[in-house]
Amino acid sequence: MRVAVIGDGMKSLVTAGLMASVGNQVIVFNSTNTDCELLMEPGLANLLTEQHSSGRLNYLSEIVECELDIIIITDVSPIESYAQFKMELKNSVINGATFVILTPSFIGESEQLELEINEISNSAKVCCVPLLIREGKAISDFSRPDRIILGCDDAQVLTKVRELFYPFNRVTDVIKVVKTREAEFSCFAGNAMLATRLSFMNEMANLAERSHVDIDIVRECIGSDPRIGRDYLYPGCGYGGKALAENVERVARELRLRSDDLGLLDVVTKINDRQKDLLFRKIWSFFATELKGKTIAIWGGSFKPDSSNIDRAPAIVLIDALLAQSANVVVYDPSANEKIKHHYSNNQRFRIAPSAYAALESADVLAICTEWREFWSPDFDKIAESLNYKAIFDGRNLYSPDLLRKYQIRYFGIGKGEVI
Amino acid sequence: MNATEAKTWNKLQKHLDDELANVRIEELNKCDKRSDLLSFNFDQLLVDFSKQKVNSNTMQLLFELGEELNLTNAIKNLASGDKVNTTENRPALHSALRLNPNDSLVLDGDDINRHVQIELARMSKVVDDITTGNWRGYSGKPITDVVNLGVGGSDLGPLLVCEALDEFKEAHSNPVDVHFASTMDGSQVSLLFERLNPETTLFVIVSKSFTTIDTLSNAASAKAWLLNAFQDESIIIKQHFIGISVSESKMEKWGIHPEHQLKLWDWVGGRFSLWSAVGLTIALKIGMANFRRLLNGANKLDQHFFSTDINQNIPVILGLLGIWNTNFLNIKAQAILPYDARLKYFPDYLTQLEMESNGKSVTLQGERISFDTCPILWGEVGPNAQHAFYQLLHQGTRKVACDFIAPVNRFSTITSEHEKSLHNQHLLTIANCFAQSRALMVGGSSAVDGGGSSELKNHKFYPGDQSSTTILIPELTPYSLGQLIALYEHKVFVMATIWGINPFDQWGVELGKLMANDTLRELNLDSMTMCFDASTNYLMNYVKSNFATFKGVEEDK
Repeated sequence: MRVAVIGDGMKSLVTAGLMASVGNQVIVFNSTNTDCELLMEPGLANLLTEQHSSGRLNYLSEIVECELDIIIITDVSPIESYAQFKMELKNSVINGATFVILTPSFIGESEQLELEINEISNSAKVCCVPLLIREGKAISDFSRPDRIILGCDDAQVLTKVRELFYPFNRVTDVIKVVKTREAEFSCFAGNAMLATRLSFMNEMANLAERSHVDIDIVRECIGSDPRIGRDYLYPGCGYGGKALAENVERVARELRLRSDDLGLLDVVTKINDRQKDLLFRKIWSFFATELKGKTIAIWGGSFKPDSSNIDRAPAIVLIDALLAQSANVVVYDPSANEKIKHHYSNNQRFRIAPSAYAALESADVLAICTEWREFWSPDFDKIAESLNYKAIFDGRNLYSPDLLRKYQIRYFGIGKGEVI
Repeated sequence: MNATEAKTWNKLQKHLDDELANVRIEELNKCDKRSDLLSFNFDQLLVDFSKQKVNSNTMQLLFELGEELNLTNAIKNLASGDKVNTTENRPALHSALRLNPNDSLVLDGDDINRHVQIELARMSKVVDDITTGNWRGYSGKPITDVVNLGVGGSDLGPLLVCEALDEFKEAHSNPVDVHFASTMDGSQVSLLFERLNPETTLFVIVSKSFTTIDTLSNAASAKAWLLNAFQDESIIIKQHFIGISVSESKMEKWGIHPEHQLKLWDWVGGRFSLWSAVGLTIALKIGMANFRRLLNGANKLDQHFFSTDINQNIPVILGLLGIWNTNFLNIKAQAILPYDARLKYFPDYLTQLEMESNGKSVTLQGERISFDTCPILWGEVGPNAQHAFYQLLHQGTRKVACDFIAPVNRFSTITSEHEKSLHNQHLLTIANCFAQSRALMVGGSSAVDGGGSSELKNHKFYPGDQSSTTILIPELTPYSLGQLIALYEHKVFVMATIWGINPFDQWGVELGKLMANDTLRELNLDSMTMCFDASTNYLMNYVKSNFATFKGVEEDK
């Protein structure tokens, strides 16, 4: 098929690369922005190079007139998109093309886009396929999805879109066909559910701390209950990233418009905001409010491992809070170092370190914000030796308090370890 | 010179007797040009005196009285920092608190505006720390609630402005709620202790002398409440208390961290101090930029007061008419009637400003005076007062001068039905404001068709002829509120100058404080109290013997 992908983010590149890899002729619009950061996604750079040299993947900086079967829209915020679309598509040949929204922005977006585009072309149809594409796992998420929610309001178009996703749906049929509104709603509700689970567990972690219980034991116990399941039960120093927070906020906003909303999702967000501040509060108490001149080493700056994205990352909240108290901060992140360095380029008390252990040199304590694999089993002797105050504030509950006691390192986790 | 010894004083008396004694205000208003004579505009502020019992001769004579009693000079001395507060030997420079940052005012060789601007910058830093969430409580949580502990001028000004400008609340990244506790009985703080979280509550102790027992007793209870939650006293004091005072040594002795001490100067009276760091709660609520707008509004009015001829000077005219009403028309009461519920604390604020300033009976030279000074001043939001004490204004036996205050614009953005309805409420309110001042002036009868018995007709009769001033602000903003407050501050000074009294001291509040010390000591003794007068002894012993008894009764319920 002749496929165009409109969008600037990592998802649009993954989509374009994989769509080309299964034989489609693909054009990426708008994406002159194939910057290094997007290409950090594991496997993406190779994929794009291969597909580009095969001739099936091409980049164009503006929307041109060409015949297309499918136009995939992703990572485009609706506000900028619609006005621009109408401008740009006016003279383009889009008759017969089907639009597929991968990252919906509101409930009813597909219907609205269809109306808007039909002011230009009567035959356009819009579907919504909110695929789960996670940073760090984007290629496998896209090529071997657990499910494909296919939101479509037109039977003819359904056949075409099914065909588009056929190469990624071969082992077992994981396509679930629903209406476009239902697909959009499911996307937001799913995110809201995950955020709620995380915030719920964080609330439990707080309680566990005060009840002298290790939350990880509780997590294992309740996770073994099939009604609950094990995923998204990890307490920590808050979830970051754009998608989850924005989607939760979207549902929260819709709910707020209802007169009987009790604010569940507002609380979910508030809990998450508090979690992001939690490591700071522990460090503040540890130093009895005297943070001026103290040096805090931080491992992990990206909002999750295998990503260099620092959008809404807990580490940023922690760094801001520490710098505001005139503490010194040294950060090491396996892939986000440059980005964090740029973010704090004007601050004299901030620096980044080239390695995890370099960050510990002359540091007073260590805080962990991202569960990168290389932090899972560090050299604790080295840590104990480097830190002036042998203490770890672990926002991702990576270690066992018993183990660290052997190294005489004080350990403060989220719902485990020492209480402060 | 004693006011009554001024030649113009007698002329005014004669003028009243000859020209106005038997003239009703209503008749004076039959002249179309009256507003030319008696309405004054300044910077969108309109002050209309046309419902006062005056004509052009009265005004002329009042200005002459001002000249004869050196009013122009007095204003100049106030502005330049002369020691106009003679009993305490200091200037009264509240106007210096709102100078433009680049102005200078040299006092004893020192540019005091430099100090003022430094303190404002320090205050701004505190506001910034709190509203960004960087000011943390003992447990590391950002502050969510700030409680102003102060009384009198350390309470009423910030309270007035915070309530009035609620719509100007700034959307800070860490918004805080502000609260006020002033009463020594502890009822207000104890209520706050119930509602607030000690981890996230910050107390601002505001006391010019830092010895005010009301405030310090509330602060002591606040400290005890915090210590109950977290036992490290030095952390509690450092993270949960700010001090605002003239006395650095007393703040230090209390334990206030040096960086958390905001300074006042002895040349600012408490009731004139909201423009300084005393206004911290205001700035926390509406932001520093709006706080600056408040200062700018007041500064604009200062410039008008300090530089305008007295016959066009609005605070001067407001004050001179106050003298006319009090001393010539023999009106002993002044009602403040804002037709805007946001100004609900304005009457309370003026009660202190005017009565504490001008409730005096001794001249600057220390001589007793024989004429009336400050009238009894009180007030209430106008539309509510219509259902409370307006009966007395309309049909009571007393003369009361009234100040009607209203915004021209309110709810003027109309994008929905309810906003349209609110705007209609505003029109209704303005209509009531004007109808009441007119009814108080013209009086008459509400008996329809002259019906009813003659007895009932009397009940429905309104004598009218009550004097009033109407003040219209364009809309209620930080700027216009600054102007309005400064207008009254200067009015107070004008009246004090004519009366020859010192508006900047308040010795009248001292005696009771002294006696309270002995009374408390005696109340703590188990033995019968015999050392006071019979009345007080009886009350003391009644309380002592019933401490336990009444407590038991309460528990039985």
